[in-house]
Amino acid sequence: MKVVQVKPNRKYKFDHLQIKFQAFHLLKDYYSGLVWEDPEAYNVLCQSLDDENYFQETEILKEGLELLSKIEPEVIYDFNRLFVGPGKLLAPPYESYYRNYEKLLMQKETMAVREFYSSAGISVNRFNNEPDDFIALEFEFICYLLYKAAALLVDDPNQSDYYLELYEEFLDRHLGKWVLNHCKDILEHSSTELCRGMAVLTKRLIENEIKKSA
Amino acid sequence: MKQKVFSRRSFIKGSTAAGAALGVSGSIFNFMFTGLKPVEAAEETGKKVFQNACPRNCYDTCSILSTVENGVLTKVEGNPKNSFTRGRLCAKGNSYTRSVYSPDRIKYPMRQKGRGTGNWERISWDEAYTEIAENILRIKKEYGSTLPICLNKYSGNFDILHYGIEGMMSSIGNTSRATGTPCWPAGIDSQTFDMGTIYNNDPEDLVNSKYLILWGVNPAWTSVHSMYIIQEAQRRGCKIVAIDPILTQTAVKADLYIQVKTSTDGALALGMARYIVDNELYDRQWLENNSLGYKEFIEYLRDNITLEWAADKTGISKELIETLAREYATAKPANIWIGYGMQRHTNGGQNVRAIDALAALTGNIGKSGGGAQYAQLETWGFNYHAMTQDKPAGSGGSGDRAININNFPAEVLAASDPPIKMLWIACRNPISQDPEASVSRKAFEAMGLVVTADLFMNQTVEMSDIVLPVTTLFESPGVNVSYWHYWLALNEQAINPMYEAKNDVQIAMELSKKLNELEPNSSTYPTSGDQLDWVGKEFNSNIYDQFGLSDWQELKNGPVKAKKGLIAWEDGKFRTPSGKYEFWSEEAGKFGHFPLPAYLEELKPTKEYPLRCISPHWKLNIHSQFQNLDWMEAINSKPFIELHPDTAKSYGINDKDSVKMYNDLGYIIVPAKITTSVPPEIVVVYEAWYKDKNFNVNFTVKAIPSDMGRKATGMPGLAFHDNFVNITKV
Amino acid sequence: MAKKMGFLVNVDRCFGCHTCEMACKNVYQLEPEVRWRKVYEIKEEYNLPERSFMSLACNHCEDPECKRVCPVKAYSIREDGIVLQDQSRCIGCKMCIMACPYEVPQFNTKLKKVEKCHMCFERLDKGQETVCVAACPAEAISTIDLEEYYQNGILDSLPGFPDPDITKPTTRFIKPRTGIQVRRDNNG
Repeated sequence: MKVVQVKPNRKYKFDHLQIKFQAFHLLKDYYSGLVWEDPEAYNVLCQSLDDENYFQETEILKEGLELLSKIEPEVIYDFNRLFVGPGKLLAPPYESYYRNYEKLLMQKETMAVREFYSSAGISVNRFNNEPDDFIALEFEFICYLLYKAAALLVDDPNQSDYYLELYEEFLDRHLGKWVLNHCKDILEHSSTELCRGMAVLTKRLIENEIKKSA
Repeated sequence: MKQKVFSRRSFIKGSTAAGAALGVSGSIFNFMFTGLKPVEAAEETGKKVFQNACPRNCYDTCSILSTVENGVLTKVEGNPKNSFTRGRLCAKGNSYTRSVYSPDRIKYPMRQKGRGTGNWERISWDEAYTEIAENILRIKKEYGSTLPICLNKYSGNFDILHYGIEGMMSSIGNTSRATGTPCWPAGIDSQTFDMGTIYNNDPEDLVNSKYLILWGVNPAWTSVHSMYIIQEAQRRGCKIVAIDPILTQTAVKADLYIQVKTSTDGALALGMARYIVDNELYDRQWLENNSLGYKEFIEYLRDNITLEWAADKTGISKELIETLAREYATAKPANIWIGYGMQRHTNGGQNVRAIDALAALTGNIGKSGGGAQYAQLETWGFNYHAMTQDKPAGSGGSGDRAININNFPAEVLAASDPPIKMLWIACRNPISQDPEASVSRKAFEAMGLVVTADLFMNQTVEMSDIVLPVTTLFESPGVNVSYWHYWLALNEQAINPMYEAKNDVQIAMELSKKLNELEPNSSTYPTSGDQLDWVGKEFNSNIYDQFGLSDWQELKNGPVKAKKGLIAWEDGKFRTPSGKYEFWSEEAGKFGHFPLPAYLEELKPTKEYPLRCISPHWKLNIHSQFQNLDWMEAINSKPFIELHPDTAKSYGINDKDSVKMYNDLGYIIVPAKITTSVPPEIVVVYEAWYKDKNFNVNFTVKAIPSDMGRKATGMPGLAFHDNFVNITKV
Repeated sequence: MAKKMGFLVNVDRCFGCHTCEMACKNVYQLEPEVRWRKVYEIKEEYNLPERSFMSLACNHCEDPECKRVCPVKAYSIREDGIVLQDQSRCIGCKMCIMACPYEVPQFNTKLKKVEKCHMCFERLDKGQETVCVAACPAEAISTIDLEEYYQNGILDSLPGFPDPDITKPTTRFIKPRTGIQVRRDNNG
């Protein structure tokens, strides 16, 4: 774990990166199932997003966060029906499902994500066990890029910008190309406020980020 | 991973821990890799080709070459080294990439809160093992044995290592076992009484026949590679005759199709035999040298069988029976392929014996181009190392308890002292494929724990407590042979198991480890071992000799074919008690059958249920596998009922009308398909599992046993095609 | 002389197992509803309605309507007669789909473009068989050069196959023989 300390003159940009990081990190934890292991940590993250009122972008998360506070105990079953199984998934959390002709996993679309990771010096832990384009991994990759951009912000602004470019490119070439359809599936099939809330939050976040980079 | 069910309380806002965990200023954040990592060394890349074998319950057991690029399966094709499949697959085999990488695969062990609720939570393998092991040990303690634990495993995967599931059960003690086979046992017993076992000529030898009767078999749908060989024989001048109540896809390719009345095949065979005897067209010398009781059989024919009777029974004219008998008896060599469909009757076993008798009478057995082909187990002489496990000392009970697989749910419910409390289901979808589907559900409901290991959600998984994700044929090693052709193929592990899938042997090992942790010496199953080594342990010198191998690793170069024994009974050494072909079988007598191939009356429809429903195989599936895939759905997406135009007319049914088919057991509602391929007294509904459809022809199928099966398989077969129903337009 | 490549479909051998179209899908990984090759039931005349089949892909016509109507000239004919479609030019107007008498061009709803069978020309150029030909368990499909190939009894149409005079398809057929069928109904 590395702690980043920032000089005041780049504070504003740093805050931007931080809020984005936190939002994506929440999504990553949500999809990777970590929040189910420690609901408290999830709670804390939601809370922190909600509290960041100095950053205008939180407005876009408001609706999602409001839904998140209405939690039902059966949410885990809904979550599993959407993303985990064992039945036919109602909103498969994999890029190639949305982009491959045949809605299959581990296809050329998955390999394109693998190559993208590789160009940034990253690969998947459970290589060829878990599809590289599993949404939690894509979000984790985004977090990594934001973290690197923030960490290098002061010492090596050029490198920092490079990571930001990768960030925008990844959004443009991958997340932005499928996650909105994925959210649509969730909103169509989900029966719980929490999963719907997360879908709204995800949708707004991605829409906003694409808009900015466009 | 462990999922907790959220409570409202844990989500209440304003946790004071927030600041401490994240850093208050908002200017500090941190990142840790979880699912990703920095690239250390270059991951394995490039293109590799692996040897695989299709393990489905199918005659053809195709040799497959699979192409793997960067660890991902990208192509599946037939292996040209196999001269039976000639480098070709079937429509199902070409769809394999779709099942391996389907988003709908079962990915993780999961537990259902309330069977059938669809409320599933993800659990770790360790939690799954713990819950299962604790349950096993609790049962053992309470009942003094593991007999309340019942295994139902059959034909979803015929790879030899998959018998490790049976081994896992043996390793914990005496258990209850679904015993028998739904598919083919009556015919197995027939050939066991006649010849000592099932043993067919190499199917590639079919091209040497001069006359071939395809009796109740539809290889155009169920064995496409055999169909090529049949057509090749036809091109070389062999006359092809198809005998079937249904004008099948195979039958239209025949030179002569004969529409026999269902379940009267034995009457046709005996009528033919009578003609052959009367006209002295039989091979007296062969009979003298090789058979027992042929004189008694001839006597039986003369006393009991007339051609007029046979014509009346079968609906086939006397003249045609005569022609058929004469042609068959005089063409040398003449061959008969006996299908599994025709023995799914209460007189199926006797009917197969009568057909076998034709082959023996005419001296066609033991010859290239001749024979009575049914199936073979000659190439199955493995060590069954994965299956054979010692029972732990003091585990209670005096032996495994057999539960009839063909009346499984009723026998599970009826079992007492001790009752059955836990089910383990593998390689099967009994709720879809067994008769009396409603009883199946009741049986499941009566269980304390139901564990199912499967690839996809299906009706059986829906009724389970714990589901375990298993590997596809590309994700774990094994070895495969066919019950029809004579090829032996290694199945290499081509790719990593996806998600958290494990193969059955690995599951057995890890469960064993957990059991022994909780109670030392409660399981004898090895707790570690390399899967590929286990494949090697299945081989022995007999197999090496049979296939001309010096080491099983040679199979990495491709499949091999048996070097000998390709013509069944060529040496004339039958494996019956007398060592001869037994027309008169004392052994059959011991099992309560008439010792000669005699006619046993067929079941007839009733007033209430005047139509016979036949539920044969469909071309786009094998039982509950394949028809659920979207590529198959693009060709055909729904079940239907086939009706003869006359039948449809008398019920006022038009093509595509919705039809309810029912009896006292249950009903299905499906669209009508009006066709002259079925005779008027029969309706046909192909057995299959369709995704997202409440269709199951077995809602109407009673667990009526066929006459034979007990000797060779422990239980009689199932008379699937003695299902009488009525229909109405809805 | 230039070649004129076409499919020869032996309906006598074909038993409708669908392996050809599945192998095509497997190799080219087509969308579920897109079928470059389709196995059609022959609805008239031979045997019984659902028991004889024509396995059809693109007929690589000599006068292809698809090529004539395409507003962006996405279609071309190779020297050997194979009709190709350049998907990068396609604007998804579906004119070809409407024009083709054989319903060959398939609309890909994801790409909003048309696609169709190209007779595996890259494989043919390497001296390999097309995917469907290589996969057929009955050896019922072959590719032939119509300028070279001659066999008695070859037909340029079968019942249900639209009039070949319009576009001059290069697909040829061998019709099924019918055995004797002894049935117990009135039709037998």
